[in-house]
Amino acid sequence: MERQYNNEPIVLVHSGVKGTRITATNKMAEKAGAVIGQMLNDARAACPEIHVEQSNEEADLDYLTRLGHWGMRYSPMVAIDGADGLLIDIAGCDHLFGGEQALISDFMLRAEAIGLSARAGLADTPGAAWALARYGRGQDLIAPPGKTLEATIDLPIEALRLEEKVLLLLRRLGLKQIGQLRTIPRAALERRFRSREAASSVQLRLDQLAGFIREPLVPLKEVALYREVLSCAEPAIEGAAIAMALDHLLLRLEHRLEREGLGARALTLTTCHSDGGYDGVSIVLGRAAREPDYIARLFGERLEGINPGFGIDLFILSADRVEKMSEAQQSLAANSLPKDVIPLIDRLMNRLGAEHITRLAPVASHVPERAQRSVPAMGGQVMGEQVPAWEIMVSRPFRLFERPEPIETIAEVPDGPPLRFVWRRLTRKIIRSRGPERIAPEWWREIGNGGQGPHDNRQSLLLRTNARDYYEVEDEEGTRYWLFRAGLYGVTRNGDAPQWFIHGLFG
Amino acid sequence: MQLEQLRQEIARIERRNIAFKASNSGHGGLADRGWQSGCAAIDDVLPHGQLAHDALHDFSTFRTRDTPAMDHFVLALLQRFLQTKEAGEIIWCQSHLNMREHGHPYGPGLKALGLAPERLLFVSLRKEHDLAFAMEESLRSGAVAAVIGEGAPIGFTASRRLSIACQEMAIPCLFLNTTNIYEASAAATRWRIAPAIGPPNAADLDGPGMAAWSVSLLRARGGRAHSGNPPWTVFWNDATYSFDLVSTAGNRALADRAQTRPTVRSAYPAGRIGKAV
Repeated sequence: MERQYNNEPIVLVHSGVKGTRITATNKMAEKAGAVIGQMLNDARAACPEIHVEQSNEEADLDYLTRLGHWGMRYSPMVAIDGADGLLIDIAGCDHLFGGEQALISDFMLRAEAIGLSARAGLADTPGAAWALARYGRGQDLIAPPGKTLEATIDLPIEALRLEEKVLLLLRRLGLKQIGQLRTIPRAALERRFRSREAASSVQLRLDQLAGFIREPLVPLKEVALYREVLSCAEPAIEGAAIAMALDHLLLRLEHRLEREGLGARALTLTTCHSDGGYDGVSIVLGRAAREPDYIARLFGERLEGINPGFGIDLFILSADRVEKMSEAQQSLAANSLPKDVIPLIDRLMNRLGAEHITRLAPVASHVPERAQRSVPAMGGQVMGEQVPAWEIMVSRPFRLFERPEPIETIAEVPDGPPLRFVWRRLTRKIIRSRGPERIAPEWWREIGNGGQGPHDNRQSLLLRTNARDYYEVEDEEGTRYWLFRAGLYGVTRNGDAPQWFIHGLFG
Repeated sequence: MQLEQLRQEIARIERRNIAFKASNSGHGGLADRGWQSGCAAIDDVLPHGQLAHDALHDFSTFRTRDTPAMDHFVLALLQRFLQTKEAGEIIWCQSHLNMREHGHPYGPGLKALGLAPERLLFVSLRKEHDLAFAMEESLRSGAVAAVIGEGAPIGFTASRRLSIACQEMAIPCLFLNTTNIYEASAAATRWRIAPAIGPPNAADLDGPGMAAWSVSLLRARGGRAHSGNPPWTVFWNDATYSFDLVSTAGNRALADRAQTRPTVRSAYPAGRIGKAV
């Protein structure tokens, strides 16, 4: 799309209440006289052959986020800045690229290769780097360590990230450069502003620029402490290469984790692509582990899901969650004496989703549907927590419908189950029954959210507020059901007719 | 006599690799590699008088409305198995949809059947398609006591793969067909279950009776079952935790029913079963 317009003027526009304004231009359009913020009509008058496209902020942000992940090749600490910037904290990373200058050159080269016209600034503080990248001139876009003030003294006040009305006032005062601002005493400057916020915002930005006030970045992705990076000389495309890279990274990660007696509970493999894209696969483990073979098996087929685009030139493996690993666990895994179900759970969780592998846990409640809950098969229990035991109850079905299903009853009798009922379009004739077992609603819950549930309809209200009479019934074929009537015969608490439901099956 | 020898020969060929494994691992012969239903009439026609530990067993119904009865029968059979096997988890695989359709397995009820809910691990699948994968993966791990799968038939090839996995890991796999589609399967035994009226409960004569089923054993590889066998009517004996034959003599409800209504089996021509198999 972009390529088509490379040699023609094109602008992106946003249609607002006050008309259509230009939000972005290319070089040709700038030459033709189009300026960001201009009305489209004015630009058309100057240059009639200009191409116009609607801007799409969501897609822009989406792309910027993708670019941010791609930028993690330089440092794990990447933050999105506004609509068109990335802030990367490269502290401690620059030596991997051969110095700051080399890092910036590498960045500019790669950005150009994927068709971006980028500017980069580098300084001790995010504020100064921001200012240099946007307003720096010539080759001086790197502020040497400790020389932030000197490097930014000539920059215009626009480089301070201030609001437009604050800038307007400063311009009226004849203050055009950051250096000029610094020569004025703080108190004198503050008196010029009507609001305290405006005054303090200037001071704050100046202090952030200089590094007197720390400005924390909000990273795109939580920075993992245990992270291994592998870059490829040639972009990798085949699945076998991905598996090889993973094996390599896992070995390195194992060494690090082993030294500190740790094991990983969650891992992510991120791939950075030569075309500026990225992809990734995450896995979770039921128990801390660091054995490369075992973890590689969990990644397994999921690696095939990675779309390498035009080739992967960087692999990042991060242990997102680590835990202390006891030596006992280690030896258990080595001997594999009692065959353990945990590796199976890990496999199933990573292939099918962790929430789909569950166990049943008893809950102390006399309302049948609350007497049990599904808990994740792994990591559900806290150590030392008392696991409640299952009580032995008579007349409980082995399958229960989470939401009782309404049934149509024929020939009701006052104090017993109906003689016939229709469930799932089939009429069933009851020949034997046992009951009733009366189960009252939990009044303390009822007070808690009486009638305010989001999905509250008449039926769930009926179920929550009325006592139920349960019957175990057998039809003429021998199938056994658990039926109940919500509400006493003839009356309910909210005035509706009582309703029959099927809640479970005995076989 | 000669016929008996031939039968043994076939059984030997069919189960050669298992016999090999059994002798290697220091277990006894084939005889203790299975579990009995406890009902002599059924055990008689099974190979070695028992259900194999290391095989796929397939259960189905004629009508989907009989699924609860099948569920119950299989759980009872599983309970029998767990009497012989005290450790290990049981993996129960089914799709979300199946769980919604037939109800979520319910702990208190399972406990009442004599199954320990804490030993059950549930795999609920988003796609029916993953059923065979989940079952095979569970078997191959070798770390579980038994595997239950529930859903639409998985096809012959998948059933063959499961059978081999069962044999190699010596873990039983019970497959419940919840549809009325009947497909070819490599299972060692194939059962067809329908509900039946059981004898009355002695403690509560008017209440629902003992759980009972009409059980057809359509196939038992290496045994003497075939689709032409008349079904047995068995009930679950709560006291002994085993299956027993229902005698129509003492069961008025069953006797009445036999007169007034054709039995499930005779409602469908035997030929159809034969063809489908």
